[in-house]
Amino acid sequence: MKKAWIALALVLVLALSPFAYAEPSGKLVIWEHTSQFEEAGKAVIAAFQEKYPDVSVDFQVKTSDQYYNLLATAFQAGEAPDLFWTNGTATTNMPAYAQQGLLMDLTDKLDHSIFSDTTMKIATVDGKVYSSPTASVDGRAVFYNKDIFNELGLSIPKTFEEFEAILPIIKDAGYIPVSFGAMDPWECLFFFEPVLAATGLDYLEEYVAGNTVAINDERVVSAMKKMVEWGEAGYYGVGYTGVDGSGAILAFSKGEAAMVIDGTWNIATINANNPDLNYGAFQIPTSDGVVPFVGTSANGFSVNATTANEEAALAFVNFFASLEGQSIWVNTLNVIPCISEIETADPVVNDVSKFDIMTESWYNILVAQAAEGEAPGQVWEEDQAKVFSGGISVEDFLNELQEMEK
Amino acid sequence: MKKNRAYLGFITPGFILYTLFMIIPIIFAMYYSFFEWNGIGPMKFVGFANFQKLLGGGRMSRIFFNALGNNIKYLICVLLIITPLQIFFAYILFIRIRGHRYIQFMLFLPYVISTSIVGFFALMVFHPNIGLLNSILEKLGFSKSAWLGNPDLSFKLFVIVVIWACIGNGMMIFNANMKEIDESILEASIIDGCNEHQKFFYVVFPQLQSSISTVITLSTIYALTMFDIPFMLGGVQGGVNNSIDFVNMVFYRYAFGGTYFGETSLGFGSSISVTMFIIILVISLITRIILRKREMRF
Repeated sequence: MKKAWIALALVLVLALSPFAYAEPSGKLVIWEHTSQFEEAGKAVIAAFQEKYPDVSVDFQVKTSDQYYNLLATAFQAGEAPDLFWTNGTATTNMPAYAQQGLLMDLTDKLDHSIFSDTTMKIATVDGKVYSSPTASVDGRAVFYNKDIFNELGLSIPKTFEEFEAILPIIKDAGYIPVSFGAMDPWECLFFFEPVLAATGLDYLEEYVAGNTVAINDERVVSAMKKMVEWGEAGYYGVGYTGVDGSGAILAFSKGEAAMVIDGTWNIATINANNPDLNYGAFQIPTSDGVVPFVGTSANGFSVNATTANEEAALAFVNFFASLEGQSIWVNTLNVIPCISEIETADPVVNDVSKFDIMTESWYNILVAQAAEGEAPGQVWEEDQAKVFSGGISVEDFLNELQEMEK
Repeated sequence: MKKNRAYLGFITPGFILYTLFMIIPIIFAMYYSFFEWNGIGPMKFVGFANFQKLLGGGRMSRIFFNALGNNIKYLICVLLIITPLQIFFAYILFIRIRGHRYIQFMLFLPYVISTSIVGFFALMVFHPNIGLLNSILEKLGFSKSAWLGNPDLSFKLFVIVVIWACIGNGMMIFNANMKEIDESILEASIIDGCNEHQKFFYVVFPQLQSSISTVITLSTIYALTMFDIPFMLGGVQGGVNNSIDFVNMVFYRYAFGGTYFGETSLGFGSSISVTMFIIILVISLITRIILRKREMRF
């Protein structure tokens, strides 16, 4: 009799255990918005499929400029992918999809225990979780050519004034001090944000402390004018207003420029452009010697509310949000992890991680403070580059944006 | 007498397809232009607000009319520069000057290459950092130029690229038209003592009216719907200070979102497409009337 009870208990335990559920199977369609994340996505999927061999994955990488349009069309046609990337709460797209019931509520379905509450903000709308973030911090950094710095006897600047002082030295030596693609508004942003953090850290910290800040604040005006001033002094080389982001990275990779100030996700591109380039990274310090770092959480994938394969979709999003999934993601991308359990061996990534304070992105402030029905991001994107080509003054540009804020 | 309706069988498939893929989308675009809608979710009726935003002054109007101005500027270049050049080269091929087969090959080659490749070639020439022109200038000891990064130069460079890329198309139409001219008329003009100049202006050119009408009509529509080459050269923002921004690019930016994370606005985008549809219709009709009068005069 006792044996029978034990057998019954064992059956019950097995029946209630996760092993009792059938392994997820079937096909998943996953959309990514840019080829920059293609390799990392493929690496995570390969590891996922080792764990769940019965799930086949059709990983589709779209082009960023058409991404949301394609997604909207796919939803309209009832053919949206099972999982798809969005930029989380950094733009209005994911919150709008959530409000329209297009996203699966993952609050009780996703194990996001490896992420901090701060990181989860990008995945949370009205208290509900609608995506998995990633463990990478999308930061900005100054990448510098160590050979040029050694040749000119320069060292990593300790203050903003020291940083500014090395620019004419590099120019006089015949190198482009900072390779800058001012044709692309995003390149302008990834350059501007570290300059603002170095010259107006108190402005950003006011926002971080919960205050509303003016987009056309004098400190913002001053930082942007400083960039224009450097352009007029010839520190970006000739014709920088006709250079795009990849051109700027290429000039640095080829050793024509001593520095490039850009997103940390470009490390893989620089390595691919020139594997022999001897380079490192640092952050522009403030006048007081504080080293700020502009970094933002990055979002991953949401699950389609009407996915035909919920079990496999949830298995994937949970694997993606796991330590194993994020270790693969972060190390394939060569980016800075926001989780201490994930270690990276890349020396440039380690250089980027040397900072005193992590602060907010100015673009995030611009979008977060937008007035109802206004799209300042769109106006910013259209006019930012004109600031450097003389099409609009810094003041007019920032005033125009301020008018669209709350 | 029984009416022959066999033609209905021939036109019906085309009519159905044309209605399905052209007429109905135009009607839908007109409908959407009265709504605020991002492509999914609820549509909010806003009446003429999208048109008011586009045409009623303010920042958006400046963007739109700057782009429309570029379309018109390019159209003028078509009429005054590109079409005369096409006729000139067609005539050079027609009179078979030495090396005409090589010239024909070189002029027609860019036309068979996709515009994306044409744009890429142009960037390889004009890129300030890695472009061919600046490399040559640097080697010769001259200072580099921003080329497409210079708002005063970018439109001119764009026209040069278009001339290089598109001259072959109209040129072949004119050349085909010239080959249809009766040989006896040309011989008679030579016997009557016409020189090459007179032969062209008094014999050949008057007989090109049908091809001029065709090329100008097609070029006008192309000019007003310009997108691919400026997009490749200047990006979605229409180059430095919107110097090579065209209406189709404005439509693209607002209807489909920005370069990375922009918001889609299909309602407003539809109002741009409807406005442009009306403008193209009116300009095409005017062009047609002028060209028909001209054809009748000759």
